[in-house]
Amino acid sequence: MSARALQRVVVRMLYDPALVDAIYAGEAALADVELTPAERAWLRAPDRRRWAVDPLRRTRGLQALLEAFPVAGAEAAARFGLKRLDRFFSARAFHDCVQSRGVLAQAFGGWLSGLGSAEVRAAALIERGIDRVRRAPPPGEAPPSPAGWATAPWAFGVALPVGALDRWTALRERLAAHPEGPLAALLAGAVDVRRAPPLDAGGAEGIVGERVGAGPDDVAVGGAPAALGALLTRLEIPHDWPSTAAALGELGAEPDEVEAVAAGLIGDGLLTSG
Amino acid sequence: MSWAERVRALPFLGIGVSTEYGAGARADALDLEALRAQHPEFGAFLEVGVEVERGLDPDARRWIAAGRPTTYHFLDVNLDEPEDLDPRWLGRVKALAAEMDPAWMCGDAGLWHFGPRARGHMLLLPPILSDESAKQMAEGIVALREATGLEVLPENPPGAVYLGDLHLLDFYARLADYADTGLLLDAAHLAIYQRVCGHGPLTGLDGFPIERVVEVHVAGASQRVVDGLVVVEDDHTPAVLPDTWRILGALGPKAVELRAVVFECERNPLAACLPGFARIARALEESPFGARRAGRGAR
Repeated sequence: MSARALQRVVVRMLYDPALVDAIYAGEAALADVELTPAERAWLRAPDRRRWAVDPLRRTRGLQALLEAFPVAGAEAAARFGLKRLDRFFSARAFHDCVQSRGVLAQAFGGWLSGLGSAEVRAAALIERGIDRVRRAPPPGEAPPSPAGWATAPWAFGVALPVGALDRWTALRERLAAHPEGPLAALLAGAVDVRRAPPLDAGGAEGIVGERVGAGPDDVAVGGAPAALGALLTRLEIPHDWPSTAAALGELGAEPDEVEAVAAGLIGDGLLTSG
Repeated sequence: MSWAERVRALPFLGIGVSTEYGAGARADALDLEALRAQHPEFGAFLEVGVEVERGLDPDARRWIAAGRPTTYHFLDVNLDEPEDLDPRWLGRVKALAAEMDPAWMCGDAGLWHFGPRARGHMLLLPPILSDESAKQMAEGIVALREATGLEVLPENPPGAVYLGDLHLLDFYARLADYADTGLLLDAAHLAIYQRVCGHGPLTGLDGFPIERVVEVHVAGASQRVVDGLVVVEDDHTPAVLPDTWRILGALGPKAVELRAVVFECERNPLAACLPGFARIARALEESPFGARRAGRGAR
């Protein structure tokens, strides 16, 4: 039995009426969770209307996510509509995130990036990186890094089509200029994303962000070589030294340079090794 | 030391109020300074709801700076998740506790957030009412008590959905036993639970260790109808449900270690709250709590 796993199912059901329907219909809706027959019966015991007594739960949840993804949200809302974004709470990404004790904003960013729009994907990956950095403790308070080579918790990097940074910066500034703030601008569709600088899918650029102060919003975002952006994305999951060295080699470092390059990235605060 | 020994060191606080970050900013919110000045008998202490990411608001800081009694009500820890008591959070809790010097720590023993603490993750759900869950939560209470040096009193949270094979009061009885701790019983939350489950307001109290109750919460609630279902909202209005008064009345005579009663009405003007305060005092007048409050019993 696992009370913790069951509690996470409760959260999923509170957000997703489709899951409630499936569970009450007796469908094999929770194959991903080890629950006893008794625990499965407990899930169906309440009056099913109780799962929906807070009709604004998803709206509040989406609002919190859009605050972290203003540009990606605006790009997505302009193409797919806000109702499509609400569907995140019924998506596999949402359920996997809650069940695995993940970070919802990270899951949302990943989900947005897979909606099928290059512009949404670019903004989502930038803002997902910013969210990652915001949640990290300031460098002075950083916990020991996990074993292996990894992107520092206070940094992120991505490789995106040329023009991604200019487009994201322009849209972010237009949203921020709205008198009621970026979220209001997004919800009102007040910023025309079609007038933002276009992406050039023929080339790639790197974008790197770093925490530069004690406050969670002290994140600086700027351009970088595409190879560096790709490396930092890859090393969000810690790697051992041989695979890190191989990754550096793929990015152009000569075999006799990789150690020095890695040391330089640690010195720049972009990588950690533990 | 056992709970029976440790409880003797806890101070008697009396009747007080609660707050959380920004609660006093509303125009019609309870004026803590006016309460303290005009009705000190109802403002004996302040229960400060704390989410460490937010810290203390100006009203709480003013109260603390005046050296007045407080309790620390956490709003951000899942006691059944060992990873939630991480060093960074614990360090900040200890710093805030050092600033507040609370009589004890307390808070809803349920799910305050899913996943790690993060934007969009905060909520409040009751625990799974099972023996396994009680054991996991007890470990967290002991760990937090040892880390802070403060008593940690688990409270029964509100909820719309309760799962498990234990009655809520049996769950908290086991939790108190496993963690060897005292309890905070929220009479309004209990009234909601009993209604949701179709029980009478006092069902299960006969097997509940009322002698472990150190603090009681009383609060108003409102009803609304969702899809034909009557739902009771724990919205801290001054309109206390009759069931909640019944529970308070039943607790009073047996709550021999009761040291603090909070009327949770922080978002309402003082005049609207005074009848509730007065009724709490009357309901407990003849109880051990009332005797202590009147100086007739050991404090």
